[in-house]
Amino acid sequence: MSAAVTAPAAGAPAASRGILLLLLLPGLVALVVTFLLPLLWLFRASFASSAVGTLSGGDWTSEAYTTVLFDPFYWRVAWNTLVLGFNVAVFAVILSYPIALFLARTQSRFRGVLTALAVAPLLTSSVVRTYGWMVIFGDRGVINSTLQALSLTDGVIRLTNNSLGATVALIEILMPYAILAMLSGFGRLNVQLEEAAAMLGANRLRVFTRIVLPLSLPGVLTAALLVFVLAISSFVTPRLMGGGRVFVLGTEVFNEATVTLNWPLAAALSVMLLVLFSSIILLYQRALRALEV
Amino acid sequence: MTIRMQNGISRMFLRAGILAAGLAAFAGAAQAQDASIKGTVNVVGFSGVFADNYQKFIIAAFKEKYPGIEVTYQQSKNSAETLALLTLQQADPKIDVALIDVSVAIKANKSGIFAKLDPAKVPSLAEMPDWSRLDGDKAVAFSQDNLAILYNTDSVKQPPTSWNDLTDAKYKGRIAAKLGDTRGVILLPILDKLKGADYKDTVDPAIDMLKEIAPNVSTWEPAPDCYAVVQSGEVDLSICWNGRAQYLHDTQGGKIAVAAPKEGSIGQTNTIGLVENSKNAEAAQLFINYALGTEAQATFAEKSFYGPVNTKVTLPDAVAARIYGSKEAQAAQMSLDWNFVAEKYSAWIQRINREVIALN
Repeated sequence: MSAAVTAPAAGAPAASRGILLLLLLPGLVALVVTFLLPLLWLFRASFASSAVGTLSGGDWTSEAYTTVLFDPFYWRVAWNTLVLGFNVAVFAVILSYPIALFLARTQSRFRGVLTALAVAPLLTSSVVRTYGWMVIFGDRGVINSTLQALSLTDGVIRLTNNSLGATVALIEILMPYAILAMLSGFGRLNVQLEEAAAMLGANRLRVFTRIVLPLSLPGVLTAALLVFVLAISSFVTPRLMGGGRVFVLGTEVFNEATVTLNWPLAAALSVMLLVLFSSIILLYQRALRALEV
Repeated sequence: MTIRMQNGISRMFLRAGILAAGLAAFAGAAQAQDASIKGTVNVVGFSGVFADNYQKFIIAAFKEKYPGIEVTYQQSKNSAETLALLTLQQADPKIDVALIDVSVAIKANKSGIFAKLDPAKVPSLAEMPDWSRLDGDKAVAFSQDNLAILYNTDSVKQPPTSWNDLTDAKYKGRIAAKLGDTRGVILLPILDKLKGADYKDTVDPAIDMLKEIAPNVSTWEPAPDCYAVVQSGEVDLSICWNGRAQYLHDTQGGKIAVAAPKEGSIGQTNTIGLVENSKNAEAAQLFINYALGTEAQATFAEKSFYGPVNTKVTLPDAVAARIYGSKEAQAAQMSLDWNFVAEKYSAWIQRINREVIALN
């Protein structure tokens, strides 16, 4: 009797697990083929010999890695990349926070429209938006020609073709991601808590610093991480806005792959970027978890 | 019904065509058509204007001579991409002929991408200079596009005449110079010669001169390219290729023009190669022979301002002036030992990137 009862009970989870696996299978296969295999291939390519133009195969050598690790230039490039990512993340989050907060709390019936507007720039390619910034920031662009027309400046103020231009353009380009990430992370915000604090005598600044900010922090940190990761892996914007003066890992990978044809070195730099990513994400998740407890 | 009618008509035309072809063949060698050789030649090469011109002036003319041979042209963004494609297909190539940068061709030859050309099948080889025949005829140079100073005809009333003008303070922040690639690798020997040095000994004088030019450079990464920034007036000067600029000058209202420095220049050299294990080697070598021949070389020089390599080609003065500049510049035209340069390619670009661009 009891066996008859337990048998289907034990069978049910097994069957559902089987169905679950079956459902996951197409996704897993796609992931392995489109993501894991190329990654393994990249890893293998980074250990190939640079002397021959082969993509993979041949003897294993760590030549590319020794080149990268013992060359101070690449350390500086890695440092540039981190600084760029950090600046972009901080400013994108600061600028996006009020927008996201407003969108999260507004009672307006246009809320949906406003949210769509805030993330609408994502519909345009970042290349197009980078060109937009080049028009605005160029030596004869909107800002410089306006300043000169108003006789506020004599010469040209160099706004683009340097890291300033690359940073500003990246901030704007990545802001929609920050807004989206914060919106989804603001779930714990609760107007009643703020009302309670206000009733207990807290002024608006105090309500913000003691209630709103701490509750929105997970969303803020997620947004910062997302923007940081997107910024350090960016290539088009630093290349176009940097005027060749901004050396980051993305641009170096491109140069080694297409100009000097040192594919193992390009692969090694990519792996380095990947390691940088993963370790930062791991550390960050630890920090986030500590924060939630 | 209509379809069948069209079929009937087209069949009629086809018959008429065959008849006409037969007659033409009968009429003698005047047309020099040879339909007896059949096959397909798959070519991969540069994209954009080059592709248009190459298809129009070389491939179309070849097909007229050999109606039995089909030639396809696949565009590739750059030689690196072509090399990647050829490397991936090495076991079973789908490409028969590749047009590729000389420095990339030398690299490709190290991994056996190209096959030796047969002088019996490619008699044009006899007319090619020694320097153009790489690694025993595995890839042969077929055109040279000079590095030149391009200028905006509105803002520059007195076009530069010398490479030295690039250091002139009046161009402060007004030059576009993409030098982290073949352009830089070619500019170093030019500037070296200007300073009385030899690129085989040292490129230090050239690097020093680049440091003097650096304050004048607005962007080292002109976007979308080194021609558009001149045409839009974003910069006054640009250090870039002659052929495309001449073409744009003629076709887009003359906003851009070429100042060929009197000290002469060096051409970016394009090579043509037969892919190892090509399944259409016969037809492919026929095509390469045509592409290297005097007729194709002269036409391509005239239409796209790429300098010919075939020694039997003589250019009309007007064409020569637009490819190489003044008589003085023509006399000073240089060529490089590409095998030597290919060895130094990465190192020179690294020096330009690190000592000039990163510090300015």
